[in-house]
This record gives sequence, C-alpha cells and structure tokens, in this order.
Amino acid sequence: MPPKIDPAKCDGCQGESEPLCEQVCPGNLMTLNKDSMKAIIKDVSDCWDCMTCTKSCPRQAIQTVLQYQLAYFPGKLIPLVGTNSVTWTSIDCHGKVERFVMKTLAAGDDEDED
Amino acid sequence: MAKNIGIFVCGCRGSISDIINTDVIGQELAKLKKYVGARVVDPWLCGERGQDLIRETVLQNGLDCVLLAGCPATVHADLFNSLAAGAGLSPGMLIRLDLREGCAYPHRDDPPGALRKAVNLIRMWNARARVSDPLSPLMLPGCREAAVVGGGLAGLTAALDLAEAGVNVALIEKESYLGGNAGRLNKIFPRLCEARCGLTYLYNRLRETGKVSIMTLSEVEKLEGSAGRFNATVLTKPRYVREGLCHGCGKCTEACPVEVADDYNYGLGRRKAVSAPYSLDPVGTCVVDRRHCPPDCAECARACPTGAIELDQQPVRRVLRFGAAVVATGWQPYAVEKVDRLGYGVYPDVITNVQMERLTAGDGPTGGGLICPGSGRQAGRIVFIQCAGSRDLGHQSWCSSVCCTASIKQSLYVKENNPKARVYVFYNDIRTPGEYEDLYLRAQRAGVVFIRANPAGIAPAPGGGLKVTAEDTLMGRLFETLADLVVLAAGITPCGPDGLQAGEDLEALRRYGLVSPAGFRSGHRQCFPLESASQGIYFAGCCQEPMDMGTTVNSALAASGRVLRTAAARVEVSPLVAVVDRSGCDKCKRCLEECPYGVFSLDREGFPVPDPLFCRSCQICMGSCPRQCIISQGDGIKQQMAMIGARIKETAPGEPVVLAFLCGNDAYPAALEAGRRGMNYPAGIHLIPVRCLGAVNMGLIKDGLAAGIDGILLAGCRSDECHYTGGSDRAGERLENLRDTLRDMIMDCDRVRLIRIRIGEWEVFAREAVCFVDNLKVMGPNPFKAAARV
Repeated sequence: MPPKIDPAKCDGCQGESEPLCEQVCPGNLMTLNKDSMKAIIKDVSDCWDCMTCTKSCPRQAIQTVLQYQLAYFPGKLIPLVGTNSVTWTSIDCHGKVERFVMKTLAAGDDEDED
Repeated sequence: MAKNIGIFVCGCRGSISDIINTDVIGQELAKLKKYVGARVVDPWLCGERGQDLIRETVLQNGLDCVLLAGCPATVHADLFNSLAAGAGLSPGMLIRLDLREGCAYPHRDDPPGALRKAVNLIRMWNARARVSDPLSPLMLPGCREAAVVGGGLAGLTAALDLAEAGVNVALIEKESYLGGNAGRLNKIFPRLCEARCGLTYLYNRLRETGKVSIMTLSEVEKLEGSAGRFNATVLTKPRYVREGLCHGCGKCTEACPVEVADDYNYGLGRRKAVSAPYSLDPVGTCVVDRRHCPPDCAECARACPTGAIELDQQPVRRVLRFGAAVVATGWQPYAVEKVDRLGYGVYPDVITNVQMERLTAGDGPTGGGLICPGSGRQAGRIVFIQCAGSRDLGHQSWCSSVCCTASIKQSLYVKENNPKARVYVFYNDIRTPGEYEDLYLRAQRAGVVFIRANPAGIAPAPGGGLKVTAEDTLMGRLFETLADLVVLAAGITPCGPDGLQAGEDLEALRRYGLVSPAGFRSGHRQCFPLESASQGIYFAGCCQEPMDMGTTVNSALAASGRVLRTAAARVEVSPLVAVVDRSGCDKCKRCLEECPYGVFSLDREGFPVPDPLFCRSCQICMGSCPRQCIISQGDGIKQQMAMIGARIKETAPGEPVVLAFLCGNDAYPAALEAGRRGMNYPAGIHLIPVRCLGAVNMGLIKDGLAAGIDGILLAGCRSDECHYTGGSDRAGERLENLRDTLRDMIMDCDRVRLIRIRIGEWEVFAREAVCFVDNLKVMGPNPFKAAARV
C-alpha cells in the first residue's frame, strides 16, 4: 500500500523542485504537484513499502499504510527517526501495539558501567 | 574529542554539599572510567586552595578538558576561564555544569533525589565533554563594498561614515539631487541653523573620501543574494542632458513650453519640464523630466547653445555587487488632502508644514517672503493646525514626533520676520521632548498663542482670507478665527515599497514582523531596531520610525556601525557560527527556509553555505536540519546527542525522568532563579540550556523518547519576544508535528510539551514543571522503555 501524504502537514519542502521524499524514493515514485505544491505519489501500485519517504519527511507528513498481507486496516507501522536511532511502533489490525528501538549509528558513546 | 577529562565537583562551602552528599558523588565519580583522568570533590573550588588544586591537577594529569560542576557558568566566569587558560587548557575546554542553582537549590527538600540528579547531570556533562573540541578562532576577510539606498540626511551620514572607514560605497538616490527632505527645509531646530549647511558639509566630505560613487535618478529594481553577496539591479533614469556640455545657462528652461507643479517645492509654485540643477545636485546639469514632455517636442534641444540635450538617451540597468547595505529611503508628508474638513487642496491658502518650509526658504518660490499662495497677500495672521491626520485612527494612528517642534520653529520664523504677525497654534498635545521644551517657551515668549483645539472646518471668510472653526477642548466651546494662511502639520509617512521591498523580501519582512502595519521598517524594536530580516541590510532614518534630525544621524551612524562590524580587512567572527557537514547534507535547503536572517546561500554544487560573517549563531538551522548535519563549534547537536545518550536513571523509583531544553536567554535564567528562590520542582527534571528554542532538533527529542526518557519539556519565550525572530514559534510548529506522530503511535503526546515563559516568570516555570511531572506520573513510564532493542 502506498504512502499517505497529509496535505496539511506537507509543505512540499517549501516548494523545492525536488522535495526530500522525491530525492530518497528508490523507485522514483514521489513528485511535487505543481498546483498544490505538495508531494504526491506518481504510481501507487509500484510502491513496495520501503518506508524511506516516511522516515525522511522532515515534517512527518507521510504515513505508510501496511499492505494487507502484513496487516489489515487499520494496521500501521510508524517510524520515529532520531539522530542515532529509529523507533518503530507497529499497530496491528486488532490494535495491538508493539515497539522496537533500532540503533542506526554505531553507538560510539557507551558509558562505562559499574 | 577530549581524551583526558578532569571532573571537579565543588561543595560550594555548604551550598551544594549540605543538600547533596559529596561522599556518594565521589564514589559515583569513581565509576566513570573512560577518558576520565582525574576526579576531584572539593568543598570550595573558587577559594585559593581550590584554584591551586585545579591548576595542579590539570598540569599533573595532563588533562585536556575540565568539567567543573558547581555554580552557574556566569558566576566566576573570568576567574575560572583565566585559571583554565593559565593551566594550558584550550579555549572552550572548560565546561561548566550548574550543580548549585540547577540541582541543589531547587531540591532542598529532596536530598536523595538531588543526589541522583547530580549523578545524572555529571554523567550527561561528562558525555558532552567527551565529544567537545577546542574552539578555534575564525578570521575572515571582511566585505569592503556597501550600498546606501537613499541620499537624504541618513543616507549621506551613513555613506560618509562608511567611506571614512575605507569602505567603497554606492549611494543610490531616486531624485536628481541629494539631501532629500532635509535639504529642502529652511532651518532646523533646535539651533535654527540652515539645513543645507550641514548637508553640504556632509557632501563635501563625501567627495573628499573618493570612496563613494553617487548614483542619482536611480532606484533599486531587484535585490538578490544574501548577506555578504548581494546583487542589486539598479535602474538609472537618464537626465537627457550630456554632462560636461551643459553649463546651466537656462535657455532650455526659457524655451520649454510645459509648466508643471514644482515637486521640489512640494507642489508650491510652477516649474518647467526642464529644470535647472537643484542645490546638492552632484552632476550639476539641467534635468529634463520627460514624463511631462509633449510628444515630439524638442524646444529645449533647439534652444541649447551647446547641444547638450539628448532626448533619445535610454535608461541604464546596472548590477551592483555589495556585502551589506543601509536602507534610508526616508519619508514623505502625509497626504493631508484625505482629511476633508481641513480643506487642503481646496483652498490654496491652506498649506502643509513642508510647503511652509519652502515658502520661508530663501531659495523657495517666493524668495523667502511669506506670501499667501492663493491671495498673494503678505500673511499677517497664521494658524498652525497640529496633528493633521496624525494620531487619528481614520488616518495615521501614530505621532510623528517632530511636527510640534517643527510648527513651533515655523511660528518663530514668522515672529522673527514680523513681530506684529498674529500666530495661533491649534494643538492636541504639544510634544516637545527634551531640550525642545526651550523652543516651546521661546515661542510663548515671542507671543505665539497656543490653543488646545480640535479644528472642525475651514471656509473662506467673507472679506477674503479663511475662517477656521474649531472646538476649544479646554474651555469646551466652539470658536472661530480668521487666518490669511493655514499651515497643516502633516505627519511622517514612511516611503512606499521600492525595489528592496518588492517581491519575496517584502513577504519575508512581513512574515517576521519587520514591517509595521504602518509601513515602517524595523526589526526587534527594543533589541535590534536597525535589523531587517536579511542580515546585512540595516535601516536608518525615517523609514524606520518618525524621528528628528539628531536621531536620524544617530540611527545612520548606528546602521553604518553594523555594516562596519563586518567591513574590516580581516574580521574575527564568533567561533560558534553554523557549519554544514557536507557528508550528511542532502541539499534539502530547509536551513535556507528556516534561517531567520537569510545568511545561507547555495554553492555551485547546490550545498547550502552559511556566511559566517553574518551568522548570528542562533542555531535555528541546527534545529531545523532533518539530517542533523549542521554543526558548530562549541555546544551543539553533537554534544546534545551525547548528553541524551548518557543513559540517565530515574531519581527515585517511579519518578519520571524529564529532559528540559531551556532557551538560554529567558527560560534558563528563569529556572535558575526558581532554584535560587527555593521554588521546588521535581528532581527528575534535568535542565539543558540551548541558544534558542528553535535550535532544538526534533531528532534529539525522538532520541530521548527512544532512550526511555519519560517526558521532554521545552521552554522558551513568547511568540513575539524571541531575540531571533520566532525561534520558539518554529520549535512549537515542529513539536506540533511530532505530537501528531506520537498520537498516531498511540503514545501520550503530552510527553512532549512547550511552555512559554518570560525571564521573570520563575514561579510559572516551577508550577508548570510540577504540573508536567504530575501528568507524566498519571501517564506511566515511557512505553519505549519496554520496547525490544534491535
């Protein structure tokens, strides 16, 4: 299922010719709608849910709806991208919430423990 | 990266050690091993013995960084800084942790909590120290080119000041002559000397410097670029007269068939479409005003004995490059014809105060004689009406600050010329601040009659002249008086939009509240009144606010001072300026959008580059960068990341752990004051000062949530009070997006909160902090504490 873009939050990266989601999408599926100046997805059927756009959006305007093989509506997978970690919240169709924390950088600052 | 850190904890002679058990701190310090070269707990570090101890420990252990936990960084700053420098530490490697106001004082009734918090803070600041690097000074070549827009008093003053400091100045003036409104005044108060005397002095000095290129009949059409590298397109209208050939014989003026109202005299009298040079015309040739020429008329060209008139000259567009500019576009008198009851434009003997200046000036239409323009009689009875359209909600709501004194000055012209003349001043309130009160007294002594009156209407009197009907607002009755001449005190209106304000720039100015609804241009009224939204452009003179001539000169010198700050051959800039780490940047240009001062530009490869000369190191770009690749020397995002990653523990079982990012300008001092005044707030709140709330990157908050921090509090200034034009608003906007995401993630979005406090609102801070922690207790621990770590 394709990403959903919240037009209230998306600012088209301030009218940039290539918004961030367009820059990162590996399938080159995102683009800027020149009329609304908001990001749109060109071809919904080509999206393979890599969630790169969702993670990259500086305004958290993109959500990915999971495909039905993984979870029925309203199942969601929401990333929260920090500076050196990504936390994932997975909400399945029964509303069960699971959370994961992934370190994305080598943890260079581990404190010496006792 | 500090590899050998010395941690010094001060007992502050009981202030800290009475609340926090320093023995336990000593034991906890022993657990910190990596890169820690010395651990010292001392009861009094700023005492002589303590200072010696620091110096010896640094030298003996070869420390490269000192973490000093004790009083706030502002206390004993010189003492510890010179101590650190004397012991051979690099600048910036003395890191102060505020354990007294930030930890001991606010938790007097919770010593175990204070102890745990102290340990947490030391761990956080130790982590910060490890990723800290010495500050290296930045020396840059300054920009030696500047532009001054407007050749009036403010513009000439600024241009001279810049030129005398060796800066090359392009002076852009719309008219064919310099001096602006000031040059057309008769005399100036309070000394009643000739206005053009001072301007001529300025102009002569300006030419002596040889550094100023004066462009008359020129306007800025378009402005591009950013501070340090502006490109302005300047359109220069032709004079239609060749310089060098014209010797001002005036035959063209005689031949010209067109007569128009004389705008040099504010519409008083007539002039020809081709006019002789006005005083302070730097070129000094006649000027043809082609707007008024009838088609195919070439009378002037035929009359010219030297063939200097070339009616086919074309406007010239030039691109000027400069680093900084002073905008001094000045003012125009309010269009008093809009005030119907005063009859301006209907009765020719009703004139404005600027026309009165021309009427009394020796080079004016009457040669200085006070002749009524309508009746042609010598004016013997003159009524001045103050606040014509000013302080009037239907017209100009503001007080123009100079008209009272100007009218008093003009009443003195009349009285000194003809002591028998009857002069009445109808005023709302006489506003003669400072020394101008002397002039008011002088006018009273000279016999000028001041009546607090509200004029109701002006009509022609049966026997000629005018009849002014007014309400005496002190006596509460209507009265009528006759007048030969009525002078309306038209207020100051800022000059309308020009090239510098057109398009995007005006948008930006409005967005940041830098153009007042009235059209005056200025930045933060109290703190940075000269600054525009764009660094490198400063305002001077009456385009900023109504001001008298002394204040205009002041503001022009202030603006040129701002330009000179970056105009030396070599400029030392703050090492804290923003730097873009290109390895992480994906050219999203968000920093360009969010920088409140527009100091970013794009280089050839499309990477954003801040101009360090103009960067104010507010770090708002650092907060905005989605890839966290804007860094700076000193305390920045790297250090904040390290602090959050320091794995702090709860201060009591079940007590929420809170990180509070506080604006260093107001919220942080307020929090310290709360501590000083013994307003207790929960010990779980760990304070982190930041340069501006806009500098807090949302990535840090997400890191904090991922690391199991229960709540994150942001505290900064109110909407319109930010020193960096809206930093806290930006933080609020970013935080609102984050809260939406948290809501989607089925997390309590109230775990992150922004409060707005002023520097004096320490009670509010303490109350909000208690309230926030109480809420967190209801919400329970951060769900990510239990999350699977992959």
